[in-house]
Amino acid sequence: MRRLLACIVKDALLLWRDKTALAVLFVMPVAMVFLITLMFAWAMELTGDVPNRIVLVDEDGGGLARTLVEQLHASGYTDIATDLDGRRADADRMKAAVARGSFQIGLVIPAGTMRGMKDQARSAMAGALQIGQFPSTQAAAMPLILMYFDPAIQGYGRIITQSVLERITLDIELKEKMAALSELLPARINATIAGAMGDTGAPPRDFLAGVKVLPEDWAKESLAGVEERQAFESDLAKKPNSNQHSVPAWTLFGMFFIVIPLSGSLILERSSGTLLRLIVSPVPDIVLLAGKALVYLTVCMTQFVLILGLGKAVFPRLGAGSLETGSAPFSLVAVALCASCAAIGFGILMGTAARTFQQASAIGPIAIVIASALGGILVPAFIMPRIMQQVCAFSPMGWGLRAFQEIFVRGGTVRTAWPWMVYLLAFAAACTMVGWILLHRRRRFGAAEA
Amino acid sequence: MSINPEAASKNPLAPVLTAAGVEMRYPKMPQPALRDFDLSATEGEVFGLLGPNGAGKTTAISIMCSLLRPTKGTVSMHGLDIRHHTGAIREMMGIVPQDIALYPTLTARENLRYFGRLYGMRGHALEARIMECLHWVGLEERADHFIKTYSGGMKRRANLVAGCLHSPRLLFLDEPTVGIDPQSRNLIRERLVLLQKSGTTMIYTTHYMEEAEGLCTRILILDEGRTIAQGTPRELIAATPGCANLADLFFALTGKQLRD
Repeated sequence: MRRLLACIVKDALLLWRDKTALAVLFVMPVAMVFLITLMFAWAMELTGDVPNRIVLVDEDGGGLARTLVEQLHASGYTDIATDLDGRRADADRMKAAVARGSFQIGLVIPAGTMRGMKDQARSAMAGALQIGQFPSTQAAAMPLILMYFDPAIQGYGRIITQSVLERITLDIELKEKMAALSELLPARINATIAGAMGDTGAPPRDFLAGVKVLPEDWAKESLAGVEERQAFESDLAKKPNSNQHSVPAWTLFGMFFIVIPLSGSLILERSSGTLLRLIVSPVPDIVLLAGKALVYLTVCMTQFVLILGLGKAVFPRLGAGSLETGSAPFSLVAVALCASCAAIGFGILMGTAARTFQQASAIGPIAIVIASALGGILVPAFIMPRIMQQVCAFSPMGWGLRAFQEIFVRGGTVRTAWPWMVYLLAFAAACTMVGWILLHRRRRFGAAEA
Repeated sequence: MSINPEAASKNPLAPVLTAAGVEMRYPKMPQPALRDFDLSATEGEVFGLLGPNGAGKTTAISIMCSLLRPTKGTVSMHGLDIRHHTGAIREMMGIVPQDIALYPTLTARENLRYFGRLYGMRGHALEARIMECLHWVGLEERADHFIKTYSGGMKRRANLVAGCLHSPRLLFLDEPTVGIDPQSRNLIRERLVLLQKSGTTMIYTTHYMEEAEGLCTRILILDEGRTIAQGTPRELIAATPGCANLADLFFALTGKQLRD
């Protein structure tokens, strides 16, 4: 234990005195998250991302679903499912699918919606024509199509989809109102004519004055509405904002930048001969590596707390929206630990695979930027082409981001984020193992070269 | 001062380090890097390992200091097989690599404190030992300066004491005086003599023949992985006609052609 402590103190001192590394680890990610969050705060509120994966639950069976699907297709929404896992979608499974991000929008057409719309149309027309046999539109409950959003979908994406749905329902309303009008208007005209002719059998000169002009607002009365609801059970009431996305995304980005000082430290030890001195010391290799890993784990967690603190306390004051961190702090820490382990594993791999510090400092950042692009850090994964989305599924940063979002915006815990946490840990283990093998191979071939 | 007060054993003629029939083959290499390597060093002996570049010196040292596992043969220290008692043997050995194996952004004191702790030293005893060692190589005034600010000679001296801090019984020195000023080289040689007198066994590689001749009790000359001579410098020089010193002997045995 004392030897492990000695390794930790040594690596902490080395890092503390490397001002460039500290700048890369703390100033760079803080500056990035600061700038990106604020820059996108405005842009994302306005533009967001247009979602396109929809799951539709038809509890009504009245033909509205078919019309809705046709109209959505015509509006450019090409990926619409009515089945989930080979079975007809129901509300509970739809909500679960949307909450975990498998679909971006869930729509429910509750039972009786079509009937309700027809009744509303007839009632509205009857009211307009002063035919007393239908209840007023004010008295009957307005049927609602329920809309569930993936919490990752931003402002404009939501607004666009909601607008499209409202336009579609308006079309359907008009059709139903016209049908009701066609049905009711002849009766009203006949009744008016009969009343005007009286017993003479001939209409008076001004009999048409008795047919009241339709009120102007009849067409504006909604027969059905679209209402947005949460797809998950959570205390998280606010919609995700730029802060919500940028903080976890750029925290991960910063965490993975430990690759540069960590790999540099390993390469320095190897090239200076210090590693030789360490290996022939009585301390097991695993303790030497653990000392280094624990220092960088602390760095990653400090980055996490620092950026989270900024997101929570500072960014909202600058107009970036509040940061919801979910209601599972321990799960959040667990995800941050897993992401840190993945970053450390990658750093160890870089430190052993690269022959020189120049190689590591060139390849490391490029690899991080590529991984972050693939992982949805730079560009959200769901607006990428399907093939790229499939590639994203293999990015450690993508796993980290999914796990963070699971807890931040979907109200998840370790129970729901565990698959990505396992991927991160597996990645860390694989990188460390390959690094270990490379180190031992290099030790053998290094001796051969000498 | 005694740099290694605990080194003296009851039987000074008992071998401290023994290598027997050692052979090392690297993957994809047609010839073994080392073959039929035998060495036996007793207490307080400075055993010189000489040879041109690529002769197998580093391979031999890597095997003897437990860094590499040989393809054939055995290495033991005080009768303990290095394969089975690696931890215990590593506690008793020290190494002074050819490179300055120190952290440039740590001070000499911080470097030595770290390496001392790796060998289980701590507290006041460690701090006192650090100052003793730094004083021994004339660096006590610069104890709290970063290694990166040291001159080449100072770095070499600090590199030497980092290997001796824990009073090893067996010390591997890989060209400890390469590329430094004459004063620092002289001081290091003086300190190595003191170490020898205190009973520390040293395996020493160098390309400076006059240094090896003055310091080593026995030498082993390697070429292309084979041992081509082994004995005291005086015996070997005397046994080779036309050789007045170790440099003459070295060229006589290995030739004057370049080895890159």
